[in-house]
Amino acid sequence: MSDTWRTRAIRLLLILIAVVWSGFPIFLVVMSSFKDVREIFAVPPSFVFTPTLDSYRRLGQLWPAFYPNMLNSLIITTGATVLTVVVTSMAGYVYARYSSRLLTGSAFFMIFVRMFPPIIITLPLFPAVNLLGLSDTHVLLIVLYATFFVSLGTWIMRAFIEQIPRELEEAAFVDGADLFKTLTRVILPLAAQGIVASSIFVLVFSWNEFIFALIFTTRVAKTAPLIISEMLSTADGVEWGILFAAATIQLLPVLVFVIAVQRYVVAGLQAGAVKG
Amino acid sequence: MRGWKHTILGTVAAAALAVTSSAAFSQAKPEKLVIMSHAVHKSAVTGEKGGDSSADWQKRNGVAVEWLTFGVEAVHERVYREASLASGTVDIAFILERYSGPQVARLFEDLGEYQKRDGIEDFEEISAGMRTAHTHKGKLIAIPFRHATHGLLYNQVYFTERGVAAPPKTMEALLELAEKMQYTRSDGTLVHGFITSFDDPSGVVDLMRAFGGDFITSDYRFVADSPGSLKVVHLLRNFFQKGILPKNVFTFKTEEVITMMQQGRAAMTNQPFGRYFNYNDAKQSKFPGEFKVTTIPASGGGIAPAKTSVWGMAIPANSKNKQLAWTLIKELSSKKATIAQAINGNGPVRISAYKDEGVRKLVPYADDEAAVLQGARSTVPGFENTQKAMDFFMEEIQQAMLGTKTPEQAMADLKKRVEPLLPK
Repeated sequence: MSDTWRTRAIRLLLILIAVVWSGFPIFLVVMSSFKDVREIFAVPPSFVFTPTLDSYRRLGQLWPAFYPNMLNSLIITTGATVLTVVVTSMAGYVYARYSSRLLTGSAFFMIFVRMFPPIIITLPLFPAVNLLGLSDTHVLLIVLYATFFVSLGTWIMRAFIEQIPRELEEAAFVDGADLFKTLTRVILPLAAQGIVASSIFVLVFSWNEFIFALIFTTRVAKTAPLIISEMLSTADGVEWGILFAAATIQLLPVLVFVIAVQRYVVAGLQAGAVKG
Repeated sequence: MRGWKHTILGTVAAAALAVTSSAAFSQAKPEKLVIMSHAVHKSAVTGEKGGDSSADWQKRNGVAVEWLTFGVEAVHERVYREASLASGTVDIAFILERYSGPQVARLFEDLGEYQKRDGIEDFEEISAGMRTAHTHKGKLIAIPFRHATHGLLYNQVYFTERGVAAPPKTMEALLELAEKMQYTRSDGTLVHGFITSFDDPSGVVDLMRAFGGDFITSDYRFVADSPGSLKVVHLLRNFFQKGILPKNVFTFKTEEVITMMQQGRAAMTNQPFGRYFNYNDAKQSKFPGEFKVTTIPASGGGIAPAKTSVWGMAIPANSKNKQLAWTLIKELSSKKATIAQAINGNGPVRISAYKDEGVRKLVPYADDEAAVLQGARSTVPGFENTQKAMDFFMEEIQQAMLGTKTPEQAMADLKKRVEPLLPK
């Protein structure tokens, strides 16, 4: 009995440490965005204060490009997520249902490609992108982000689709459905957890990605992380209140989305864990 | 008959010439000129207080100016990538001498040639040191636009509390004062006497130069083991061990120094003169209006050759509008434009701007900064391995301060690491 109590207490303590470890910095950022700028770095820090929206007001005044850049982030993130879901669903189906040496080889090739540090890829890509006139376009970032997550997404989808009994597909074929209908009406609804899980990965990555956005955008497709980085790299000193306000706004959409679908993340991570 | 034919031929030729010229003209006159820079340059040129110093040029030429702005490091990353392409879209690039060097000289036009053909007014007024900072392999690759030069910033309230009437006149007095200013206030605030930034060597090199030392000279000689430099390494070690420098000082970047000063946790620092405004900003500082700035004193008196960093305007060699870009650079470098930019908060590269009444009203330290500019120089001269050499410098300085090496050993080790990197 006391062992159980002790185990529970230790478990709770560990969870508490993990929550504080990962959540406290975020809490500080959000809290600081509502503080008077002079109080942000006060020693000792104050946790009780009169909140102000001054930093949010100044963010709009001094960095008017922030909100249009957030819209770019939204367009690119949505595009990359949709593209990844479409491609990985189809690829996952093929890898789950068919087998050949070529398919096995290509599956491992995808993992291999993912091992390249992104910065290496930008070197040959930069002149090519300019030559094709794709620099500073939403399409380019959508394709790049999707490309980076096709491998992981495909493996996730493969694991989910493998768990769906083949008999369901065969029944659909017998009823006269073609491959497309079988996929869209039978397979994908049953693999919805996998779709959500893989889309979360690509969504979080695309929303926060910096290197590709820095190298391939200048104005039209500039994303929010770039302007936040500009706020950190001013010549006259960082305005911390404004920076924290921007970080809080940048954090919100993805946080809301991840919380809303978090149970699918766990399901996605566990997918295939007990299969051979 | 012959006359008639001549008339027709002449008319056709004239028409063809007109069409060709018009085509050539439209080719030479793009709709916009693209500038890649940091946001601070855009606000210096287009700010409201001093007015838009590119407005007349745009009106005269019928060409708009498009600004693409990035953070300090990001702008160089982008500029060098863009300039490496066969054909570029950037017409003017703002670059900092610290990120420049002979390795990038081929990417930009030699503006010395443009200056010879169609010169900027009173070009010699821009200090030779600033021009040299952007001259590589005999090419002037950028025209100085903005400088950030170090001064000594101090909290007047703390000086008064400790009975100090005036800022120090010698480096020796400054060091004594740093010890005296190390105290705990009645409200419990621990005040550090002196702090400096440790993200690059500029803060330390200021002190070395005040004692006649340096890190790397402008002709690429390693001198961080000279007596003046060694004295400073000993001093830093002593300050660190006594707690005059905070225990976390190695993590101090510019931002931490600004925060410490604004929060009143340090009494003095060596930073750009322009920080005067950050420190006195009522929205950010706990001591608005109480900060003063003066020159960094040299050992024995006089003004120490402080660090300056210089942003310059360059024309990428792959720009399609080089001549037009030069005319804008010329415009932005004029005396009138320099004053307007200074009123917009720019560090003016022309001494005459400091004499302007409008500038003097806004910049109370004008005379001091103008005086420092005469002898100010870059932290290190630009070369291919500048960044690596600066990293080694900081590593060895920290080892000496922590006591894992003697100052002599640290500087001897630094010499071994840095000398092979220097241009021969």
